[in-house]
Parts: sequence; structure tokens; C-alpha cells
Amino acid sequence: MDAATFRTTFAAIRREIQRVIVGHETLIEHVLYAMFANGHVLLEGVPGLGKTLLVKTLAQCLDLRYSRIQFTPDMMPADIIGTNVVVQDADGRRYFQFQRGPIFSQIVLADEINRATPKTQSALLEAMQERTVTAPGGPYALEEPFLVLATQNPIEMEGTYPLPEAQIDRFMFKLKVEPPTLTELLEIMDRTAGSAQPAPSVAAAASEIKAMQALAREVPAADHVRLLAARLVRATHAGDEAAGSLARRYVRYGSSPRGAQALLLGARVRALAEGRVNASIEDIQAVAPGALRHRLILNFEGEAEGVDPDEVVRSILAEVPPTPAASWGP
Amino acid sequence: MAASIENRGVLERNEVLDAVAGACRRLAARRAWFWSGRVALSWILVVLALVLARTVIPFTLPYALLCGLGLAVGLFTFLLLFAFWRVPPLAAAQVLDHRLAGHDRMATAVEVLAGTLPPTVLSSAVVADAARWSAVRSPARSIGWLPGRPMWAAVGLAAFTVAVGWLLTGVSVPGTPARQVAQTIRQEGRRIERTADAMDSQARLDRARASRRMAGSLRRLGEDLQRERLDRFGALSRIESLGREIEAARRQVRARRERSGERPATPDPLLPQELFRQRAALDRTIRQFQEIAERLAQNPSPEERRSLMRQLEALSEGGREGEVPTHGREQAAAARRQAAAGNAAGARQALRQGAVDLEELRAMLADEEGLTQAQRDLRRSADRIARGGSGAPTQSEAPPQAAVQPGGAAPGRRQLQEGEGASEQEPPPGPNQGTAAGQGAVQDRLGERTPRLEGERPQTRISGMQGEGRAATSDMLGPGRQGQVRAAPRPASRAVRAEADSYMSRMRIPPEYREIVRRYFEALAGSR
Repeated sequence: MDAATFRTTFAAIRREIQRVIVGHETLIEHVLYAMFANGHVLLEGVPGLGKTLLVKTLAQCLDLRYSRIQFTPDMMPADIIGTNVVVQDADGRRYFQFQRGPIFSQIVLADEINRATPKTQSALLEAMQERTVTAPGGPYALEEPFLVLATQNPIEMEGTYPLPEAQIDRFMFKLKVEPPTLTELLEIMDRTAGSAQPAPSVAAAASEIKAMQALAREVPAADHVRLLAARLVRATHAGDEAAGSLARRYVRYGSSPRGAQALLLGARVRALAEGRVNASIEDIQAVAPGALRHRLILNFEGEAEGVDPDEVVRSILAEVPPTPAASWGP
Repeated sequence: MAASIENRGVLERNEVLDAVAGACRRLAARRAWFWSGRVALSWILVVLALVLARTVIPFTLPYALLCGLGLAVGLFTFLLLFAFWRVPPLAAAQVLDHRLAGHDRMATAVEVLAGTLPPTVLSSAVVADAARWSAVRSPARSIGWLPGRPMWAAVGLAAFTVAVGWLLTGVSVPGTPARQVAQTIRQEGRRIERTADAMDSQARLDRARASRRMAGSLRRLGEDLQRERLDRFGALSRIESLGREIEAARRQVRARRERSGERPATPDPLLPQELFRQRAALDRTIRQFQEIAERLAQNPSPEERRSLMRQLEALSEGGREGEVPTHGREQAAAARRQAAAGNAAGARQALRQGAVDLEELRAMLADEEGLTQAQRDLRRSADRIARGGSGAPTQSEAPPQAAVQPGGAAPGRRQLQEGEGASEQEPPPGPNQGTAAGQGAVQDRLGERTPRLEGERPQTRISGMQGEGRAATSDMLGPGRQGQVRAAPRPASRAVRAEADSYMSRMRIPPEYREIVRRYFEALAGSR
């Protein structure tokens, strides 16, 4: 796998997804960035914006095993990871056999993840981080590539359980699904209300995806690029000297080191997708909102004033100079 | 195949390093221009502030020269910084990426080549990508060699400063020392104009051609000082320039006088009183020549003829004190020979020719005297302007000691001199000061102080008539507070003196009064 092949494959996957999904270019790109960075994505948006369709289409394009878990309050962890069931063999002997749950797929859609209890939500923790599932007779390794795409509805708060910080930190990106524009809406009507439904074709196999994931980690990032990622993360901490003005005022806890990892990995994938072989400052800045917004825990003042974490991230991006050497250009 | 790939890698590596090295040089130049421009800008800002300060405080400021110097200093700073400034390659690469939206290609490639980044499977691709990019974009060219904005701003500010300096020349804020200097310049302009008028009339009387020519220049200078907006430097420059012209003219006159056979043993330049003494002696000789010639024409008695022959003999020997010039002696000797031979007409002719020659010499002396006096007046005006119309009089402005010493009080010798009204220095004793009848101390003659002197007056103006002849008017500058009003002596009006001399030269002096008249002129000359 080389950089050119990466770019071609990436473009092919994106093209296939866009045959089904209207608009959401940035969303699609970021989902792909997360997938090739071997990360997970939390999609947030009101119902009916195509979140589930996006995940299904992605699975179809990649010819990966796909499962959907509809999270409900009465769901148990065993419903996700699986359970031991009593099995009788031909000799009439009975024994326990582990019955794999829907987590044992390559693309998992955790739909309305905030409707499940924290106990059930935490069933995803090990799978997302370690790519393994611990169960009787286990642990069981999950098949690569493994991608969790969770969705949550931001407006229905009744009967929901906000994701715990430890859970939410394991998502590489939190992406907002925006409503379609007028033109996109017309296009959606044309595509879905007709007799012919667009169907994506397979653009990449699992092996290719794994090779692309491996290549993404080889992309060099200059010192000042990595430094920028680190400084951005530091700037999210209110107590830090380099904290942004809004972060200092509204943020209780800033991003964890996973935020810096997400920034760098996302930047590397984006660089390859853009046809470059080095991560750049622009790549870091492009992926920063998705990588940092869910890692900021606002304080009481921020919550009370309804501060949008995106606003805090934007202010940090504006206040942290991209490179110290830029001042050399008089 | 492997060698080919390796060669290609070396080429790409060199291409990247060349591009970065070029950027380093251009960036160093750019940076040097930036700081040198700031240096020049600061310099010229200071000059501009000084130009503006000149409207309050009078001082000489060659602002155009200083602006040029500021730009030169900026240029020198550029050369210095460019010679010694080294830009790190990584910084240059980052600037290239920043300027040309290179997405950190060059910086990453430099780090890969420097070994800062651990090698990956994409390391060579990074260098190749940067090489391709630099070949297409020629990144070093994006950084110009030309001066940056600060240097252009410095050039613009220099032009603005020169324009402001030119516009503000002679402009002053009321009530400030600068305004005082401006007023002094105008006053000196008026004074020089009056001096030019007096010099012109004197030159007409004496038929002094060079003095008359210079009187015109002097008048124009006076008019310019009153009319034009000149600062102190400009006014002094103009005065100095005219002073040089007058000095050249004076040297020409002196050379001409020397060529005519008259070789004075006195130093150059002569003091005006020295010149006057020579001229007075010439006047006497000319009158003697004319008188002898007239008496020869009147068929003198033998006794008178003998007396005339003795006079001619004395003249041919140089007069009583050797005051007759060589040319006059020769003509006197020739006239004596003719008279001895009984050729009275030939003697008269020789005497008339001698008188004409001596008059020419006298005109030259008058020329030299007028020019010398004009030089002294100019120097005095320059001194006044230089000290801005305030402070103690300078050495050149102070009257020469010989001029203020009592040496006689003959008509035409009393001199007015200006001085500060508030000066505590006692005036020198007047020529008629004494205890005899008609004499007395100044205070005795002035009587009691009048209450008027207690009043607040900014100026005291004294006007008066100096005997017969033209009126001499002087402005006495100074506060009108209680004290003695006094006027130190200064050279008398040349017009008055010239008229007196002319009158004496035309007048027929009876023989019994000649000695008295001689003593009069000698005393006159000796007291100056």
C-alpha cells in the first residue's frame, strides 16, 4: 500500500457513500478518518438525518460484517457482548457455550447509545479500547478492522443516561450531524422517493482497510505539527498557563491525552486523503473540533450559560499560534 | 535499478536543500530589510521631531542631510545584518510552507533529512513530494530581495520630513525663542538695508565703483532677510556668502591699488581708521596740488614763487610725514622742474595730472574703506542673528577699543552706538566730558530722572540729528526700566563724514589755518 493507492481507495469509498448519502461531506470524511485511524465515532444529531443510513452504507461499501444494536434502558451487557448458553451435543451431553453478541462484528452501530444504562454502556469499553471481549471461556479478540459508530439524540433528555466520561473519551471523534440544506433536501427527495434506490458497491476489502490503517500510522509529522497538537490539548485545561480565554472561564476538565492522539492520527489520515505524505498544521486544525469537543467538561458557569464546546475549541484554535517560526516572515 | 533510485533520492534531497538554502538567504535579507527599515524609520522620526521643535527652539538643523543620513544608516544596518544573520533551515522551511500554503511539506522534509524524525516507509516519499513541490512552486522566489514595508515607510517619511522642514522654514510659534530669532533676522535685514543705502550714497560721493556694486547686493540681502522665510542657518549662510563676495571685491581693490604703484606697508585688511587716515592725507595732497596749480596760474610774485617751489620740493620729497604717494611725488617733482624752467603751464599740467591720479587712488581707498565697513556690519548682523537677539554682545559686535577711546570731539567724529538699555556697564567717558564750562559728566547733563522712565515700555527709541547732514536713527532695544539711557560710540554716519570731507576738500583753506585743519584731521584719524 502506498500513498497514492490510499488516496484512490479513500476517494472511492467516499464516492460510493455519497451515492447514497446526500451532503454531509465533512461528516463522511471524518467518519472515514476515524475508521482509517482505527478509532470510533460518536454521531450526534436529531432523528432522521441519516446517521443509521450512513453507517449501513459504510458497511456495505467496505464489505465488512455489520451489526446494529438499538440501545434501550432495559438492555443488559450480555445483550451486547454475548452470553453462555447451554448446548446439548449429539451424545446428549450438555455444556456451556459462549454465544457471541452483536459486538462481534466489524462495524457496530450503537444506536441511541445514551438510552442504555451506564452499566450496559460500559460493556463497550473494553471492546472499543482493547478490541477484546472478556467473557466466560474468553477473552475473545475482535476481528479487525473494528469500528463502533454510536449515535445519540441531543434533544430527548427524558429517560436517557449521559455517557460517562470514560466512555465518551474512547470515541476518537464526536461528530455533529447537521440538517440538510435546501438543495440537499431536494436531492434526498429525488433519490429516495423514486422507484430506483441507489445501492453502493464494495470499494475496499478488510485487508485493504487494515493496510491503509497501517500506512496512516507511518505518515511523518514535523515537530511543530506535533507540538501544535499538544499545545491545543494543553490549552483546553483551565489551569494551564497556555489555556484559551474561554477554556479558562468555562472548562472544568480539559482533554485527555487521547485527544492529542486523536488529533495526530486524524491529521495523518487526512494528509493521506488529501494526497500528501506528511501531516500538517491545517490537518490538525481541521480535525480539532471533532477530536476535542466531547473531551471538554464544562463547569457550572459554562453549563448555566449554555456554552457550546465548539465555541471553546474555536477560540483555542484562534489563540494558539500555529508555529513559532511563522514570525520569521516579515 | 537500485543505483538509479538512490541517485534520484540524492537529487531530490539536493533540490530540497537548495530551495531551503535560497529561502534562508532571502529570508535573512528580508529580515535585515525589516530591522534596518525600523532603524531608519526611528532615525527619521527623531529628525521630524527636531524639525517640528525648530518652530519653538531656534537651532541649526540640516534636516535633508540628516534624513539622507538616516537612510544611509538603514542601508548600512541592512548590510551588517545580512552579512551576519543566519536563518535556521527549519525556520526557513516553515516560512515557505506558511507563505505558499505548503502544508508543512518543506519543514517535514527538512526534519526527515536532518534525521530529527524517525524514518518511516514514507520518509523518502516526503522528500520526493517536497522536491516536486519546490520544483513547481519555486518557493524561494516567493521571498523577495527588495526592501520591506518599514524601509519604504522610512523613505516616504524622509520625503515628508524634508517637505515639512522646507514648509516650516522660518515658521515659528509666537512667544518662543524661535520667534525671537525670526524677528532678529528681519531687524537685521532692515539694518543691512539701511547700511546698503548709506554705502551707496557714500560710494556715489567717493566714486567708489566696487562699493556701489556691493551696495546693491547688500540691499538685496537686506530685503531678502525681511521678506523670505529664513531660519537662522539660512540667514547666516546668506550673510556669509555675501561676506565672501565683499571680501573678494575688497581684495581686488587692494590688488588694484597695489598695481597702481601704491604699496601700503600696512596689514591686510586695513582698519577703517587706517584707511581714513590715508584718504585724509590724499585729500590734503590733492588740495595742495590744486592750490599750487591755481596759484601758478595767477602770476605769483617772486616771493610767492619761491614759496611754491619750496612746497613743490616738499611734496616731491613725500611731504612732511611722507604721506604723498610715489606717483604724486613724481608729478610734484615734474611740476617743480617745469616751474623752475619757467614753464608754468607745464607745471600746472603736471600738477593737475598728479591730482587726477591721486583722486583715483583716493577712490580706491574709499572703495576699500566702504567694503571693510560693510564686512564689519555684516559680521555684526551675523553675530546678532547667531545669538538670537538676546544675550551679551559678542566680541565682534563690541565696538573696537580704539573707537571708544576719547581722542577728540571733532564734528563728524561723534559716533552713536547701540547697546542694551539694561546694561550695567558704564559708558566710556565722552569726548567733552570734563569740569570746564560746557563740559560735565553725563549724569550732570541728564539731570534728574523723570517719572516717565518708571513706566513699562518694551522698547526705548532714540532719534536725533547729528549736526548738519543726514539724520541718524537708531533703535535702542531693551526694557524701559529705570536706569541710565546711554549710547556707546560707534562709527559715525559715513554720509555725514563724507559730506564734511567733501566740503573740506572743496574749500579753499587759508594758509594760516592749514596747520589747524591738519591737526584737526590728524586728531580725527588718531582717535579712531
